[in-house]
Amino acid sequence: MALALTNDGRIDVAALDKWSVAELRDWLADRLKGQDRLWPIDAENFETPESLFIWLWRDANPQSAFVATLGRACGELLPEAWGKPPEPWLRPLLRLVATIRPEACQAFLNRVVIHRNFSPEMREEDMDEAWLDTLAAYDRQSPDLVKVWRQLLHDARFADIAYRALSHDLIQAVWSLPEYYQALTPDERSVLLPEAMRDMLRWHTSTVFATLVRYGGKLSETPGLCGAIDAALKEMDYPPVLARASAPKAPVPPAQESNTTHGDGASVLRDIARERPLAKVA
Amino acid sequence: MANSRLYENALSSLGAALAQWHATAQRIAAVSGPDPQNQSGGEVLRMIEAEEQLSAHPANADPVLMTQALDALAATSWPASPTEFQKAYETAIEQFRLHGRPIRLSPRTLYRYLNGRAASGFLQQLAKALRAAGRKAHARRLDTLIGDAATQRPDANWDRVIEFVRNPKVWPILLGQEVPLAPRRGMFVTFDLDTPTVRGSARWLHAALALWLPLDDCFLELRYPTTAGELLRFPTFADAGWFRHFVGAPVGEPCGWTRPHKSIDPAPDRQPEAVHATPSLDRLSSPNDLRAVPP
Repeated sequence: MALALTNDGRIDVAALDKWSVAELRDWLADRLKGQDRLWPIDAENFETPESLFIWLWRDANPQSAFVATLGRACGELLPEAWGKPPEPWLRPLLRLVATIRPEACQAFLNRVVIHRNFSPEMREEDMDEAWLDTLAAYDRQSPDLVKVWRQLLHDARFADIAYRALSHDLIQAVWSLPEYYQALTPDERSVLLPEAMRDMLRWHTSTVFATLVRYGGKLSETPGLCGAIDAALKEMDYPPVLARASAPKAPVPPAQESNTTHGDGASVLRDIARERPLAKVA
Repeated sequence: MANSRLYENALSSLGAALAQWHATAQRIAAVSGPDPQNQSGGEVLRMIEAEEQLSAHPANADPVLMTQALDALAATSWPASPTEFQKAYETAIEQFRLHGRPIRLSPRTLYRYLNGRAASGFLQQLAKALRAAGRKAHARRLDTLIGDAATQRPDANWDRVIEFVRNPKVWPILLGQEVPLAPRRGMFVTFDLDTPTVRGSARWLHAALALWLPLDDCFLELRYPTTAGELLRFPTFADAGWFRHFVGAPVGEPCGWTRPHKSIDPAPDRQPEAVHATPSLDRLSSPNDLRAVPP
């Protein structure tokens, strides 16, 4: 297939709707291997092999045939990549999948993470981390996976990946903070805990604060964690939330399916409806 | 046109090699569609002949190297693999790179701009540097932020990523890792000639710097001071990657110039441009010298 261009010289994304999965898979594979003859990689500018497809995906209509076909093309390449010793094109493929998160890849990634049957060669090259990190990017995590991620929270090598996977759900994000905090080195804590708090604040502020207070008992069992959370919030001009918290130990949240409804936190709000939201410091 | 007899001799011998390469390029184009670099060997030859700013000094122009590189390119005939062709092509470009005449100006500050895809790649280099420094969790966090920024529409927003890079606990780790500001040994920069230029929007930058494809995302700006003895050179077509729309500055100009697009009204004035050897990240005086230019 030849690429159709728009009048201003861009790739015509709408025209990609006509491409078959096999055609797109072949183009994608060529590009990931650095052999794209249709649209050469801009080596003058650090362009990475996967970035063109990320940009095309971003420009495409989410409901378009191209978006679905690209997902299926990734889905066909993943098993091919899994069966072989790590090749240079695998990392860009995983970065692409982690960024566009096609549904067609999730079942395969679930199996990889649940079984974690990584070869010594893959471990040596940290490819096991790359596979796990790819699935951790998905907003929706099945209950089985939530259990796996909770176990991996205790493994220093994978703790930050596991926390990323769990943090798509506010309750899991708060509940997992102690294990995450303990798994990090002091140096990592000082950078990554404020990042975790920043991510959490994608939800409504009062919902986040109320959830922190609700699980304050569990959080306070980890020395230094409550102070670190309050310090991170202070850096973002919020008042301390946990300094005055002495809530009883909250029940373990079920390993429910995480979801992506950032911002509403409806179930949490129902639980904390009587709690008064904290005002942001002027 | 460079006057050196040595250079003219080199051009003469390059002519045969380029003619052969032109035929190769045509055969490849016939099979694979447009030439990968969207230009033919003949055009490259004309551009070499029109190039006025290539240094005439043998030590810089190095016609022997030029001839060797282009001979290698010409010898790469179909059915050579695209990889072999690309390698020969890039070797040839590399031999010409940074061979422009020196610019006699001494700007105090240089500016380098990266569009969205280039910024994404550059920031991934920073993540790689964090990995090399043993900070894998930091690196994964940066990769996550880059991915989030790259998927934002209508405009990539790099502020959050830059904020992470500027973190006082992250920045010193990066400075210790010799991260180059460009993947090649030379790179384009712009600067203020007389009065400070307000480079306020990505749309303006795209037009003023005459960047090839229209991109409506934001740009990453890298700003750094010149150092004593910094050698700025006139950009040549090889520095531009043999990009056919590039035009070198005629002899007599103080520096290279962009040819602004008329995509915005009023069209921006032409901007000074130069190339110089690629520095590493530690040339930036502070993390604040890294910023996002919004759409």
